[in-house]
Amino acid sequence: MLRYSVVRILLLIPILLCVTFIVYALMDLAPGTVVDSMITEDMTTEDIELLRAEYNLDKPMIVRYGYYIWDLFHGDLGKSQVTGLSVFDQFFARFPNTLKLSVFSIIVATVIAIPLGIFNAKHAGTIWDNLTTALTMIGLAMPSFWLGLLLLIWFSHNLKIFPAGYDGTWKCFILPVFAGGFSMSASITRQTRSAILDVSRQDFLRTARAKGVPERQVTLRHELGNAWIPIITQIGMMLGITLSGSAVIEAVYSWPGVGYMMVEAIGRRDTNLACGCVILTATMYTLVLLLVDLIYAAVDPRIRSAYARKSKRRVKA
Amino acid sequence: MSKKNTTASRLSSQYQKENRTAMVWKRLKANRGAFLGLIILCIMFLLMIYSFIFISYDEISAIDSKNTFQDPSWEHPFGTDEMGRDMLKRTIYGSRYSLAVAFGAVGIGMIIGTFLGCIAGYYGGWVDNLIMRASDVLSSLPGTLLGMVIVTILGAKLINLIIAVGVSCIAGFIRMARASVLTVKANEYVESARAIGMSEFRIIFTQVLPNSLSPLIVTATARMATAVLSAAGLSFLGFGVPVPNPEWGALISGSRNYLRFAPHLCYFPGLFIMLMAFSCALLGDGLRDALDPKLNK
Amino acid sequence: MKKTICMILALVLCIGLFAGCGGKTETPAAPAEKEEEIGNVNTGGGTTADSIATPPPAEAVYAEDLTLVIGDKVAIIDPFNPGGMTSQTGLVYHMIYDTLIDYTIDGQYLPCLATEWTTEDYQNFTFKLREGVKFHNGEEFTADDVAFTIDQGKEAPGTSVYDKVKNIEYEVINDYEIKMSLAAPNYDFYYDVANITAFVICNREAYETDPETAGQIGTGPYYVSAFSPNDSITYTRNDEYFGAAPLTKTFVMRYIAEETARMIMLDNDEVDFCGINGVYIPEYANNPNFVMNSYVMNNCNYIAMNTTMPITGDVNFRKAVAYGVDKQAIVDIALGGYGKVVDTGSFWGNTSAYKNYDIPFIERDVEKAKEYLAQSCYNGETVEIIAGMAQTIKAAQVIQDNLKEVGITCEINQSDGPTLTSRTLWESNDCEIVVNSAPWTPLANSINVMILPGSNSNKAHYENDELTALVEKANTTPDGEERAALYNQIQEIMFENVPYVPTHHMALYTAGQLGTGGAIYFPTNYHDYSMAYRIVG
Repeated sequence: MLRYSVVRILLLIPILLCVTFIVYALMDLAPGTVVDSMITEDMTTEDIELLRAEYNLDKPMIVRYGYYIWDLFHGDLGKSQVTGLSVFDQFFARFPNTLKLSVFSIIVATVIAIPLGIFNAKHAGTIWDNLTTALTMIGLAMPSFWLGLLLLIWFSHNLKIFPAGYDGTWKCFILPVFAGGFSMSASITRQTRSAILDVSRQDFLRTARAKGVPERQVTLRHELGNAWIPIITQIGMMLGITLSGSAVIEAVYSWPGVGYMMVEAIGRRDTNLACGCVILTATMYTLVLLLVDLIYAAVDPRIRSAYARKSKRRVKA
Repeated sequence: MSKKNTTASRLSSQYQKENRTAMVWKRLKANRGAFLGLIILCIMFLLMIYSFIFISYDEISAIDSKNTFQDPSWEHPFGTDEMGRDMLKRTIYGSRYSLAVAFGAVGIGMIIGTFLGCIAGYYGGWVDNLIMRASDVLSSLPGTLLGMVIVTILGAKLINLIIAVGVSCIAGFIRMARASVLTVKANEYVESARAIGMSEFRIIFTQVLPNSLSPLIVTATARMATAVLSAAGLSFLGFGVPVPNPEWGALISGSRNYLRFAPHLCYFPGLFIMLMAFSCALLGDGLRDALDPKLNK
Repeated sequence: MKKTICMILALVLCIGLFAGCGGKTETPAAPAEKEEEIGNVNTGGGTTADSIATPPPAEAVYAEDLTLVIGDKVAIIDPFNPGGMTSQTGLVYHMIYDTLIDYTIDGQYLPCLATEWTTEDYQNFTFKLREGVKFHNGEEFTADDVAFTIDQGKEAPGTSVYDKVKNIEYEVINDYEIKMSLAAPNYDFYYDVANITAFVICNREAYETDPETAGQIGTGPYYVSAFSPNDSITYTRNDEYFGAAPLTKTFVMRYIAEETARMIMLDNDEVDFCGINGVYIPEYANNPNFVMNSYVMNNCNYIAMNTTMPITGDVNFRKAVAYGVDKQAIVDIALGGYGKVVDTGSFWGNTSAYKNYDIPFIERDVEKAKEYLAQSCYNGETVEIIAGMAQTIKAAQVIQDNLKEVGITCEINQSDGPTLTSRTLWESNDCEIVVNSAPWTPLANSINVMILPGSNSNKAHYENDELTALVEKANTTPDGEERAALYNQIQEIMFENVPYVPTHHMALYTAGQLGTGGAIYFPTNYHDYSMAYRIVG
């Protein structure tokens, strides 16, 4: 298990190196540089040359990437080219806001979705099932920025219940959580429904019912207990994705998170900041997925033994 | 000898295919949800054809400063925007962008992804490793960010938007194609094809691929829904088709500043995006059920 | 069948939701019905000039905290960081910094950190400094800080301060007296010294101890008590300020990206001041709960045509564009009707000095435009229009529509800031038409960067030896008849050759909650909120 985790984390390193290279190369291909985002009307061509030299932009991309990687190997994510502040600090100054938003969205989505999914599976084929299935489809098909704008207009402007922007109180979370969580809860509902349906065909349920186990316990313990894995995978993946922040939701709700920061970094050609954000979010994504794997092993003895078998096989080979 | 054999096998597979297509179609028809999705998608196509014939570019771009922000009425069922342009016409005209992105981006993703995935799955070894690591790299780049940078580099044009969305589809298709090739590869007919001396390339694309097509079609259809949504999201952030072309995401983005007094400007384009993604998702769902070999009886 | 019905039902439900929730607000009046004179929408707090003339009543009770919504983010506060310059810089610096000389809204130079200044030849200047002024970190303000600002500025290419100080040599006479000498006479030097975005005085001690936050240390009426980059800045009153004490204790500037969200916050009284877009003006102007302030920006929006490209290099083509564009339509569409169409045909700031009012305004005349087009080398090619801001992208759509009627096919290239800049620098000239806004100060010398060859703001890539000579001569001529004649001639030449088609000046509006006032709105867009207040009760 430990070996598996370590390998998984070590595998991340070459991937991240490639990712940084791609981001660096793409940002270099994009027209304009960070210096172009700073040029004011008074600057002469000589001033611009000086400024370019200061940001090493007179050197080829590969040299700049070399400097960046050198710093990276020393554990330094570099400095934002626009503000001159450390990328790490800048990211983690905003990350808590994104984390709060994504965790709340996931919790709300899960709390709504799992009972709904179970209910659907239990009533598969009835009108209720069809209606909720249609609703989840709509949830998946609804653009989150559109839903965000509609909620903003209805609840902040027309009804004046919730604030329009981030103000630190619990109230300001409701609209973005709902706008982002709607599609998530839709996909978790679908996943739960199909997982439960898959399990419900198994023999051990018949056995349990024959033994006289109450129906509620059959559902919660035996059905849900055996359907956890795809559901947790789904939730884990959603969490991993939302941790990098949703640029559109953050834009609509003026949310001081990392998603919009990345958009701005690209808008100003701040390569270091964009690169740093990608590294940190990709790492976090992998860690969340790893955590999900570890949770499986913790809750499911079958998987634990599978890991054990695998490593034994490897030892033999 | 060998020629005869393949002809026979082709004939039988032809027969099988027809039989199968008919069955899938029958099942799809029986699945009301999928059928509804298909109908909506057809309506979108009809709207697009209508817009090609009856709506000129001038009509959707001409500015009329006297008729700005009209409420919905018989004359302008969707109202008019901040430049006095009819929103109904603009919304209908916009169907071509969404359809182009849905089919184009997924097409790009599917062709490239399937090709790489098949090679990875069929050859295995270091080729497999290389391709799979590349797909890992691709999937750890945030899709929005990648799309934005690509559009920035290539410029705001429809084809570039399609490429931007298509690139982020590739990784999924690689994994999908590889997995299904791996299951198909073990089958006897692949062995026999190899035995009669078919080239590797031909085996992949005449034997392996057609037999692993159904999960790919399902993924592609479902993927179209996400492609429509991410293209709209990119347009919303300003990385889409150039103004004044009425892409739906751009229409919402253009109306977002006027929502307090003209919310209808964003209702309709959003509804169309939703319908489009909804229909693709329904169709994908229905196709999955229809093509599911477990239900083959 | 049941399933279909369910699906349709769900869809209908969803659609019904819109109808139900779509509570309607009034649509603003069409631009035609708007109040005639820009600048007269004033329902209480008064425009800039009034707010100076009538100080608030002495016995009033003021709100302790005020919030202003800003429309552009502030990533860093540091005059020596080239990334620190944004459209909000002036607002921030007015709060925390002081300049040697104060430039007032009515064009006077008043003592600030310097109490006296003298010159004989506009090349050597002596400044006597105010005594007893303290920086926010407790350090005493002396001539050494001025010297530090000049030195530091010279090492920071790309900043506005660099441009102002690079030609200055100084000599510290004593702690409260400094002498500056320039390489050549500069008759507009006091304006540079008073420039709030460029020549603000920083503290040497602060930069030596903690350079990362030193940019937040000034002598101004407020100090920065909390700064969250790209998000908000919180200021607290500086009780040791040498000038008039602010009436508010804490002042917050918040960046809100979404315009609709900004408006909603204003409606719900979550913020006190907020800039307002054209289409909303009638709604707020007629609402007794708000105080409107308006001003016309000095900046001039223009259409620049690259004179080095084959098509746009043809003067007849440029004239066709000049006659083909409906400037009022641009104001109506891009600004919701609230802007000021240029009043002459010359490319000049709204109230900048030496504006030549004899140059006729070019009315739209499609026939004439077609005549010019027929004489030009244009042959149905597609011309690229590049624009980078929301306003200019809208303007570009109007221009595209107007020019189509003349017979010119255009394609809009919607780009972001760095792309636009990198494609329109002096060395890169493949852009045909640029729609943009030019910053104009009250001084006529703003024209320099727009037409001198080699300048990166010369988006027309215009090079005319006669004009260059005239501009250089005007720069070294003291104010008077001779300078006026030179600038008149410059404008005439520009009118004949139309490298730029001036279109309009933006009118910007700010709404405050009832009882607010005291903010000074500069036509350069660098407003002073340091004396802003809100009377409660």
